[in-house]
Amino acid sequence: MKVRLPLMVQDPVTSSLKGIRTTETFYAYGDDFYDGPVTERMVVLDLHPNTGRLVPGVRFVPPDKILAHYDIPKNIYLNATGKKIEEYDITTRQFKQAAVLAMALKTLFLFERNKETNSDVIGRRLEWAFNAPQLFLVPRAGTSANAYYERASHSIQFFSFSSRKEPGQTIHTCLSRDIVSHETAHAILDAIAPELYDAVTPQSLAIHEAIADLAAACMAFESGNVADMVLQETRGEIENTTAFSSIAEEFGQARDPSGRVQYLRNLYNHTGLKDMIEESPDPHDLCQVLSGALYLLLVRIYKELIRPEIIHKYQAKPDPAYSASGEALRITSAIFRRMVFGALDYLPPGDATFADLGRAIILADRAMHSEERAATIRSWLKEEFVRRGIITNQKDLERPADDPHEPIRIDIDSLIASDWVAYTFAEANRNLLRIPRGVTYRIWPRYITSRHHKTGPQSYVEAHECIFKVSWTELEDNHYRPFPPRRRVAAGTTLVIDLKASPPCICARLTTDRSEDHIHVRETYLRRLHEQGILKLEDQPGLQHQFPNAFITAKTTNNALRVQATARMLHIVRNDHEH
Amino acid sequence: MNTKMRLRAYNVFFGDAFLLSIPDRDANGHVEMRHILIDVGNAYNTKVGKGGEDFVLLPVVRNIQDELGGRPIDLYIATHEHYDHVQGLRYAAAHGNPRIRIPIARSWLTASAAPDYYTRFPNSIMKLARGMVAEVRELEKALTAAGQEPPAHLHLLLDINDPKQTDKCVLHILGQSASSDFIHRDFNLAHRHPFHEVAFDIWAPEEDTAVYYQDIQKLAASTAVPVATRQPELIRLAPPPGVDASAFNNLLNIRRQSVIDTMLFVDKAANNTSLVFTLTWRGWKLLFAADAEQRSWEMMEYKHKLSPVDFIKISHHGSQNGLPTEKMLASLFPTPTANTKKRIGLLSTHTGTYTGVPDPDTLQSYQNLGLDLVSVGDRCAPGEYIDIFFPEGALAPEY
Repeated sequence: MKVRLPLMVQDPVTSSLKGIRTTETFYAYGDDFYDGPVTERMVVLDLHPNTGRLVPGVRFVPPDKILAHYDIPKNIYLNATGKKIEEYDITTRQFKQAAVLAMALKTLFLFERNKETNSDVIGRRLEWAFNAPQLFLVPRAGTSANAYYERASHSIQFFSFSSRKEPGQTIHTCLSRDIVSHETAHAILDAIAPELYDAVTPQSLAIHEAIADLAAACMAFESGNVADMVLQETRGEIENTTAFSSIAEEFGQARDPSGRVQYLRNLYNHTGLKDMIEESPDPHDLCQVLSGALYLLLVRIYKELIRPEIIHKYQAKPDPAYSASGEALRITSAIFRRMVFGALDYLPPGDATFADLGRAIILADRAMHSEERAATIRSWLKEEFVRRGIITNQKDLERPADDPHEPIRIDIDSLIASDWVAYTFAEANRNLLRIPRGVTYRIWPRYITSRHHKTGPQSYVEAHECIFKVSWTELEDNHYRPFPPRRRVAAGTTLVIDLKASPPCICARLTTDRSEDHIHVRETYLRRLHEQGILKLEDQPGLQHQFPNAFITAKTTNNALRVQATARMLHIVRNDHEH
Repeated sequence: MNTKMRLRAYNVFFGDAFLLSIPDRDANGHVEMRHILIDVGNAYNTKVGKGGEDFVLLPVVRNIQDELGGRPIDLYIATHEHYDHVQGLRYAAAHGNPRIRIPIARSWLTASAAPDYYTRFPNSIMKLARGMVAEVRELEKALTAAGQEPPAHLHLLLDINDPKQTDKCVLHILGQSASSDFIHRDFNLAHRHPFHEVAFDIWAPEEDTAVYYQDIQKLAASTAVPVATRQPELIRLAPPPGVDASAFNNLLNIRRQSVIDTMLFVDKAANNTSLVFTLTWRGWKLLFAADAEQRSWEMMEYKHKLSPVDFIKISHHGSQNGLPTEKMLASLFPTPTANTKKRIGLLSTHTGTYTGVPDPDTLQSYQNLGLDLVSVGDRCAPGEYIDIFFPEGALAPEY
């Protein structure tokens, strides 16, 4: 069934300021759409902000000579030329209910196969990290300048607040395409790499923020209306416009009464690790290094696609540059998503770093694309990572020459289905999996990914792989005295088995970056969290026992600190001074 | 006596009450003894046990009255609107026998205590925070009625932050004051106090304190008060068709917990909007840190206010939340030289009132820097006081 849903183009204030449409149409496919909306994967629960009662959901209209859709009130008026215009009334609860689902679903479809795009980025169906089928979207969760994904409650909660810039104006985060995509991307990344949620390494948490921001940027690229506006204004130059790169414009403006702040974050930056002033920067600041690197890669891909010789192909069009750039945006977004989001399954479990993600991107892309253009793009990524100080040498992102390529002589179906078979394999291959001597480890559920990309009318490329992940904890010294003398840090290996080869063989092995640079950064980060009163020790008296959700609580087991759920702090807004 | 400033710290159980008696020399060399009263209050007396017993306030306020000898307080500073800091004068006026009304020549309160504050800063989150106490009380009762015991500490937070109670105390202070100022970091203190030899420096907070309220979110707790029973109860919600009931109820329970957690952030925000100030007199620099918590300290550091002091009223009754970082402490108490005065940390608290307060590691942090820790509760009986003298030209206080 094809279902028509309303989608916010950006957010109400930004659309109005830029003179673009407020809404556009999105088509979702599936059989399970009900009033609410309630679907198989996502549910909108509209709790009244004042009473907490469940507000009736928007009515689903099944297909009957017209496309299936949701019954949303519309404003009808005549425009200047007397033409009747119908527009969704975005002030209604029905619109908020339907639109938040649409934005979240579309974000999911940036990663998963769907009928609209017909491409597989992640190559498998994702299961939410909270082991339940439905992600709850609460569009009117309450009053606060915030929105957050929360694993424990299986939900994303969107709050509303009064604008500090325009008194009397209420800002609904559920109506911001950037914010909805950003938070949904957190839920998606949690499904793909759940160990990042408990990371104690700032770069690991920053990966969450960067991927979430990039998902929001890709949503902008996918919007015909935004692309249209930008390309009309800039004649195909996307580098200097913030339309794609600025995240949450309405939100950022509304929080600043002075009017200086134009958005929450800008992906178009040249920030390097060496520019981080603090020893252990907040993940919201640190993420700009990674998201900036990847965003510049995206810009570079786009510029390559609108070279003069490419534009020449559109000579027959009324405006060749404009036509070429529109097509280029679409292709750029697709390439970028396949390259970056498609690599997330390669991330090693544990406290993954920017370099780990870089390696995952290079290896996952090489597994699908051997053509020259892809190799060139990969070299750009390596250059950018070096330039920003993420790595010192481009070779750091390459697979070592002596990395194993051996065949896996084991029944893959059994490896996936049977934990016993998987543990036997791991135990027999501890060296291969780089499991340290004497540590216990965890085998993650194995799965198959089929990443598929059409390259022509009759041609395609695909990667058909089995992902095998094993993780363990390592101990580091704690020098900060309120903490016990050691702390646990999660590490692991992802083994990627190429199932197209016969017999299947290892095509990639990625182990979490264990460089000593991160040890001091972790210490400083945890110390700061403790000094700020955010991190509490379970074995000490305090309010963490009565208000467990208000803190991050660290346990001490066998004299070592174990911290969990640090990603709960990743709200849209950094808790910071308004300087 | 003309050469010593005296700080009298009262044992009010869990609270603060300090009387500074300062010989103040004018341009003509004439010395007049002037008095500054800082706070006076203790914890709300329900469920905190001894820490909130109000009887101690009467002998304290009587002693203050005696020390004033019929004159008004030259300067009263209410550091923030928590019950354990503002309750005392109103209590004595209501319950003293005879009733004790202390006249105040000039009072300083936080900017947010100004009657027109919410007009000039229509910041819904701060107003929201004030309004949340009633809603959380309703949730507390509903949870209890449903057999789900809310956190014991919640009641304490509700009492200490209840604007219905604290507003009355603030009104009493304003009513007793001949003039009042609503102070913040950038406030011009010229002609706002009668002292010639005392210099004040306001370290915190800023006038617009919205930043400290960012963590606060207002959620509806799905409670109701039926007309028939007039007793709050949890609303029983049915999940929509196609939604797992267990997951749905889990969401509601976590949201209710978030409502409760919000009181923690309301309390924290109020602490972070404490008036933190230094007072300098004839070479002595005293820091009164009220209940400032980490974010307030971070802002003070960011605004380059932290500088060496000789005395600190330890923040937030010795809780870990009130401890500055090591780096901040090093700014306040640099490595002593031969000319460094003997430094003191004054602790005004009552052990056992709140879990984990005072925090031993926090107190040790001050002692590690060489400060003498003076605990009011250990040195005098409830309702009594200790005196610390700061002699002109000396290198050590006397106590």
